[in-house]
Amino acid sequence: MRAISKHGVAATFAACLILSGCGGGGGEGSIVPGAAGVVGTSTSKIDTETDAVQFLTWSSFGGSKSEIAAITGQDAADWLAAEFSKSATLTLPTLASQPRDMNANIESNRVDELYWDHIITADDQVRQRMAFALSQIVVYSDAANNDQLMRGYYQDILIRNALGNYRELLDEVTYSPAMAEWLTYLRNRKGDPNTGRMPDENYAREILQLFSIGLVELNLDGTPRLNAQGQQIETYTNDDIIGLARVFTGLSYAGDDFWRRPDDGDIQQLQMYPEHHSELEKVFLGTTIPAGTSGNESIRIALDTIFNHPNVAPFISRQLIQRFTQSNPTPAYVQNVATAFETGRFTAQNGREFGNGTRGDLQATLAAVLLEPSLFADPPANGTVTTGKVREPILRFTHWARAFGVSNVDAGNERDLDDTRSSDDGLGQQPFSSPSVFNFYRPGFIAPGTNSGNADLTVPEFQISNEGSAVGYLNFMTDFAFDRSPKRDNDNRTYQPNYADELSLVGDPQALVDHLDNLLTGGRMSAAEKADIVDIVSTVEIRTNSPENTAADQEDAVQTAVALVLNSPSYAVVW
Amino acid sequence: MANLSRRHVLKGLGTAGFASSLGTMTSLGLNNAWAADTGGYKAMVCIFLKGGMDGADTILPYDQASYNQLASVRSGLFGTYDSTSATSTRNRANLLQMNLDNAGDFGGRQFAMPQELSPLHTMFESGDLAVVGNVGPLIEPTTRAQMDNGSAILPKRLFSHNDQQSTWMSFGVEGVNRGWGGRFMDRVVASAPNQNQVFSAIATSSNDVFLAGETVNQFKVGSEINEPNLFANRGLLGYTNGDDAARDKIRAFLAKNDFNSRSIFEQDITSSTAKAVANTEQFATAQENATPFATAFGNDSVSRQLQNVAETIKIRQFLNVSRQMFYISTGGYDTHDNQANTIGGLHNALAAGISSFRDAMMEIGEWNNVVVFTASDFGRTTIDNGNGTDHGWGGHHFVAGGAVQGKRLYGEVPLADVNSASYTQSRGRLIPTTSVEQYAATMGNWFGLDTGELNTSLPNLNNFNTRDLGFMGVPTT
Repeated sequence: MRAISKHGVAATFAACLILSGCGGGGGEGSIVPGAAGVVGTSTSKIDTETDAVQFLTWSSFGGSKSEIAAITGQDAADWLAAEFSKSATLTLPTLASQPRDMNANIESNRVDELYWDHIITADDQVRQRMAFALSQIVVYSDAANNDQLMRGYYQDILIRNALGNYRELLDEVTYSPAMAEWLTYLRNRKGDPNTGRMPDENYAREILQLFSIGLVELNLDGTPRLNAQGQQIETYTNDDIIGLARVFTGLSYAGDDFWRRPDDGDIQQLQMYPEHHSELEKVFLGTTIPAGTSGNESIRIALDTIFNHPNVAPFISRQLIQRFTQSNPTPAYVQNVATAFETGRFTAQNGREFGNGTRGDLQATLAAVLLEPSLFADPPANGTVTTGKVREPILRFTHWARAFGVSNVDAGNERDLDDTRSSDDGLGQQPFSSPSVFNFYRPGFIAPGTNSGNADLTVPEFQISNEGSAVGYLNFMTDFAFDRSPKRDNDNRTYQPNYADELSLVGDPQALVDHLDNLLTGGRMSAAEKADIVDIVSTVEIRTNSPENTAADQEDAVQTAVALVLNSPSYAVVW
Repeated sequence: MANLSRRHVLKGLGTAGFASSLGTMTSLGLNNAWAADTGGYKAMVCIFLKGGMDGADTILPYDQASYNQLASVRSGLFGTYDSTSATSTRNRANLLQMNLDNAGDFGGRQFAMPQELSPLHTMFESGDLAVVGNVGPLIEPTTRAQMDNGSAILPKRLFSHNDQQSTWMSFGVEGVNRGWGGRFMDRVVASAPNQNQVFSAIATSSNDVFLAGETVNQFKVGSEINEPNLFANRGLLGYTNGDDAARDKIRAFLAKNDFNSRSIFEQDITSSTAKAVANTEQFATAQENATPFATAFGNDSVSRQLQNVAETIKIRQFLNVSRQMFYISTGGYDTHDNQANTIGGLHNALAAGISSFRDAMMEIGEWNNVVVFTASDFGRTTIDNGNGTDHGWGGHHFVAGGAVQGKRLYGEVPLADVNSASYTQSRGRLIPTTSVEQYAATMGNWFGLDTGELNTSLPNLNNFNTRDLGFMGVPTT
């Protein structure tokens, strides 16, 4: 991968630090960050465990120790191809078998709980991570809807199509009960000239603004196109919305009655009811659907029109990059990914081909995101680094769970995992539960009063990860790091981390911190961070008056070290 | 745990530490042209109603002819309210008529609020609340004719939620990073050397642009003091001297401003965590002086946030502030669907929250020194979609406070004649007749900002003849 790791540590040196049985002592990087590195040949080969940690941080919910071992020495492209060939782990089968109350409903929050367990344990990590990324672009939130199965069905649409084609994804999303409830086009009726009633414009507006083309015309590299006056060019007018709103009329639950929902209506594709669909001409984005065109045909033409807009590739590509690797991607990187989206093909540095050549192919697109050559190039030897991604709090939590191989993964027993939305005592974020269709944060967010903001860099994650949420995050993570998160049944030790490897290093705080640095940040902690944590771990008192006290204090020391790394700036960022 | 641990945390900080942390003021207002009046204490409280509140379902026409006109334009929506039934909240007989002191400004027209806003109606009648009609973002006064012939200079990305939220808060689309609440406080901080910048701008929920200034950033308050357990909870590591020493070092680690990180993002995270730890401690110290209100607040989101605001105002002297800008937000106003069953609950919470806040401020004698005002993405279409309404532009807003010249309707509340020049070509979207900047300037004038400071904070204000709408009872500067 890289001849020199980011802090100048010779790559081979870092090789044996993460796994147990590697002889825990020493090996810390003593070379000053910024020392000139040897420029190596850039490939996507993963040479070291720290490189493996970094790649798994980009591409999964966080590297487990066994995955780190498995991927080290492979080419990332080969590993990715193997991930793409794994079958999809769906959520609805588990959810559907849950106990029901007397109204045949599944207990509230069950889908939230199961989703944590799912993303932490599922074997098809890349697919699941892509589905999670898509859930932040084609946003459905259950904040206003307690229907557990409806959300599960929607989750599975994203999981099944995560490595498929974006056009098909748009189709399934449009016909999903969850989206129709959320963006209010369920039972949306054609206009009525007698009462003056007009179709609901909600989905017409948001599918354009958020799910496909965005507000202003883009170049392939994601920068705005400008007109002769140097102004940005808006992609649609209000008249386009009025025209497109006519398309999304007439949809309701499957069955034979527009007004009735069958019991399993929440897990079936919506149905078109022709008598409620607008027969008028529909004009939008330069397309005219003739009067009298059927509802399903109108939707097909509309989605084709939207999907074929040149904005879709850069608009979606830039956001995908932000979800995986870079909060503020360069135009060149966006263009590489958008080109893969446009052509449906991507060729890795080792020659491996991705995609089937169809526009909108998500395997080609995601491969371009994760195998972008610039990610594997040596970082600049000196100066401030402005690339990289601030990791959303959800990913920081799942990474802890996977890195320490938590056992008895049953979020149903974890009181803190029911609802993690609060920034006072939670993560300030919960999957599929954003406050609005605008997600937890905006792709264009620039944080006021920050160095990155002053440099005009977009960092969406700073919208929820900031001074106001720092203490809530710290306390949430501390509870889990110390294995003291509140349980429903206290005798049931769920989400229990395995710190055996770490306890074996407790006598050598420097080795312990080096190990945690490698395992959790890919060896990117600054010397100052590590020195402080080493000092703190050395200060925690280890009583020697009884073996029990000694063991308890040693555990405290390890847990303190873990909690501090989880709250270090290096853990929050991957670069 | 809380008290014990807090003292542990704060040991060595004391008042001296508190005062010294105020030493990092920005350049003081040496330029005499800019000198906000920062005497006494004043606070502004913005309630942002996310989604776009439907003005036409908030301030309703009450005279029979105007009411009938709206009911006809909105026959679908009024149908879902079952408005002809005796018990319907939208039956004219059940609306709460507003007895305007300036009724003469509106000819024979009359106005009313729905029952769900009853506490606000009471405040209106007692003179504690005013309504400003048809407010929205404008670059300059704008007419339908100018829009139709393409000569109007319009705010960008009208009808888009995030961009219009941003425009209301900052006069630019998403991505602008200074809001007018923050800009107002920048001016205050520049003029008041003793003002503690950290607690100048306070948010209770989301991190939005409204409070972002050049020197001022928002501090977030919640319902409880949130201390970092990693060092504040002694039970975590234990009670030995070594554990105490470790805790001190943990605190120092989390409060550290610089780790020589090369990543600009890591630098920002270092800084935000450090500020969170230090500012939370400062706030917690001040909060040790807090005493509870006799006034009870409700449990809805608006009431809880306004309670946090009230509690913060109550300890203002320990926060070293003479001016404060607060920002709370609440969602659910994007009523495309099922409006008849949702907006009532939203109105209930809004009215109960503001009413309790008034009571709490009366309790501590500060009601004359605060102004509470609403803001929202946009108004909504006057023509409905059957059971809801879609994105519009101008909307009606509330301002409340002891200093507010209440029981009056400012600006305009146009008739529901959706083909008239009051509306855009389609769907009955109101063209604003009062700009957000005029609305803001009226409060800014009362807040103590002078003409130059208002012009700096409100870039298009000079395009409008009326700089002060009069609802704060302050003579125009």
